[in-house]
Amino acid sequence: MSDTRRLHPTSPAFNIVRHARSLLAPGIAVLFVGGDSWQIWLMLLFVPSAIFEIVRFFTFRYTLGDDQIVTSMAFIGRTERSVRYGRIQNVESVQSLFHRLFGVTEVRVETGAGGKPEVVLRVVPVGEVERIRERVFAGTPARTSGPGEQAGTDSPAIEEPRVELLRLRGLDFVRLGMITMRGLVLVAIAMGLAWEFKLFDKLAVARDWVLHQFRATSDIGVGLTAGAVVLLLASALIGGSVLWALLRFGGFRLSRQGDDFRIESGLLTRVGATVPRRRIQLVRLTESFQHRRFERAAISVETAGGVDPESGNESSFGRQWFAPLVELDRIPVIAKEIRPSLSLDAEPWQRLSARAKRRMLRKSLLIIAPVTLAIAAALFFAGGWWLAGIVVAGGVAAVLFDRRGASMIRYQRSQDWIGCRTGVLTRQTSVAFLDRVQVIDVVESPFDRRARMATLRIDTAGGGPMGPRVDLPMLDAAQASEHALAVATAAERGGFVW
Amino acid sequence: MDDALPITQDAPRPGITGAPLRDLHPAWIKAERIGWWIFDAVVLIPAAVVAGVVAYKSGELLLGAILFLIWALLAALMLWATLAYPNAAYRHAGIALGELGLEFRRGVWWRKTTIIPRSRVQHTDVSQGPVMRRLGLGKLVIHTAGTRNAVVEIPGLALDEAERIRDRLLDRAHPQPIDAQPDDPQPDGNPPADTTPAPLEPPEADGV
Repeated sequence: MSDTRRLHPTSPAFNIVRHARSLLAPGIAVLFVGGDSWQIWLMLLFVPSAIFEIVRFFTFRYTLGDDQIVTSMAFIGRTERSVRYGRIQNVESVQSLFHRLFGVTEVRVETGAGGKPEVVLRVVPVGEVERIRERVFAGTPARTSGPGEQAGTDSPAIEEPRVELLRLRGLDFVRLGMITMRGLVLVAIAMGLAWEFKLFDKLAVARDWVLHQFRATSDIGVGLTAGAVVLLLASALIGGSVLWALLRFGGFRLSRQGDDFRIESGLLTRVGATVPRRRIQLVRLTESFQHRRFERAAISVETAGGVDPESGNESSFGRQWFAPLVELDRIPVIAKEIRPSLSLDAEPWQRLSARAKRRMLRKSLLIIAPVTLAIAAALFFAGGWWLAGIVVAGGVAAVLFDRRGASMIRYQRSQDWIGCRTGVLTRQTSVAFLDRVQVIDVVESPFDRRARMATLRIDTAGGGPMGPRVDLPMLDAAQASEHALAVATAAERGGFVW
Repeated sequence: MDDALPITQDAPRPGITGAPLRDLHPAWIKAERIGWWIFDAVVLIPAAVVAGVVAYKSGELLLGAILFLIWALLAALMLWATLAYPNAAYRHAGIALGELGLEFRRGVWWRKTTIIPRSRVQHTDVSQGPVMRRLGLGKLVIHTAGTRNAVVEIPGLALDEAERIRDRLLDRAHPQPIDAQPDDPQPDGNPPADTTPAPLEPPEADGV
């Protein structure tokens, strides 16, 4: 059974506005502010793109078949694309404020191929999202549970209850704002604009005003002005960050329904993502310095694909912000939901051997000491002993920091997963599921061989160049081989599953 | 097992997966060396021309001598690498095809052992460059769904060997219980007693 549908009639309007934003806006800005003229010529591209969008609307069809989604479009030639349900990793909907006014949404369908979403439906009625999700994730043959998964969760015919795992509210947005500090971008933009409009020159005016008002001496006036500017920037930073968190994560909800995780988030632009539990390849727990101040952590997950090959950025909201702010005692609960065997606690993970720690200390000493001493010596003869002293202190601090880093490294291999934990200020725990491991590397540098050590590297689908990795450095060589064999055996036994 | 790769070294080395590591085809040394010679020519001839022109234009004998010395040093180094490196690379490379999957070891200074479980092979290519075609060699390229190891290239196999390994890999690329081959003499899942590669340095040297 299959039915073919068109996009929503408002689609061309939304798409034309989208093009207008990217093509017309820079040109208009140039007309007012002045700048490069090529941005004005860019505006000419708007006409063909608008025509294209109208043609696309009249020829575009999508069909939800028995086991695949097919899109077709005729523009000069005819393009048809089929994506099998069994290969689909994620169905995400993005609904902006304007979409909401018209009761429509954008739907993105992703497979493991990476890069851009394979199918983008821009735009469809809101009800379509649920229908597409149901067709894609229900009753497909790929839904049989693999090893290591909870039994009895794959009965897709019955509507399963939604288990809520995480909800953000109230002060959470303040915490999240202070942790992510996205207001930095806002402040940077404000500084840039201030520079552009020569507002910094007006600081003198502000200072004179302060001097006049308080009849203060020059020094105090300057101090007051500087203090006010700093206060203004700081409050803009914090305010902007909290605002960003509120807009992005307002109404955030992570829940599990059957075998799928659902993520809904956003105050104005609503994002809805579905992450099938069995597609999760890798889990990462992040405890940054700020996270720890608030006694919270963040969990992100990786499924295959979904990483923009150009920027290396995670393209999916649902994976990057799987659980952006989790209370520490909730971590085991969410971990168990991802996989019953998963534990993200730091103990009883293994530390590096004393030999490895000594080696790391030696390594950082050998790199840092000569550089520090050379710079310190140069400064001593050129500038004086106190400059040299600062550099030496910095070098000592760097070595101590490295030493702390070495002692923070933990790793663990269980029956079902292998993970590593690193970092001093920002602590990251990355765990790969053995039945999802793709390739295993054992790497020995010349120094490793001297010490009879090796690094074990686990490669999974998903992650990308910037993404989380599971690397176990400076293991005893025999131990590394043993782990590699165990991981390879478990991977092979698991068979290939997306 | 019928993977009769030539074992030219004294004893088969134990691999991590249990299957013994076999050498690549000896002709690979020659192929690598031809590659090095081409690289040498591409670097050294233009370098000589540039150095000669600079020395001639400046007209200073000392500068010419220094440039020639640098060039000669570079040439000697590259010549040494051309003669020695392919041999060393051959000695340290190895491939094993066991029940578990493919194990490939390579590298002279930085040594890397890659294990690709059978079920993780997405698809494979066997390719041949002009030099390799001359020598009857092929390169086996294995594609996986991984990120860092999305493509694993195994050079230096005899073409028919590369094709045979490919066929054997694809034969069971579909998930299958690995215990289901009782006729295979290679016991699976037992790590060999010693998988540590022989260190070049004396073992007591515990350094960075």
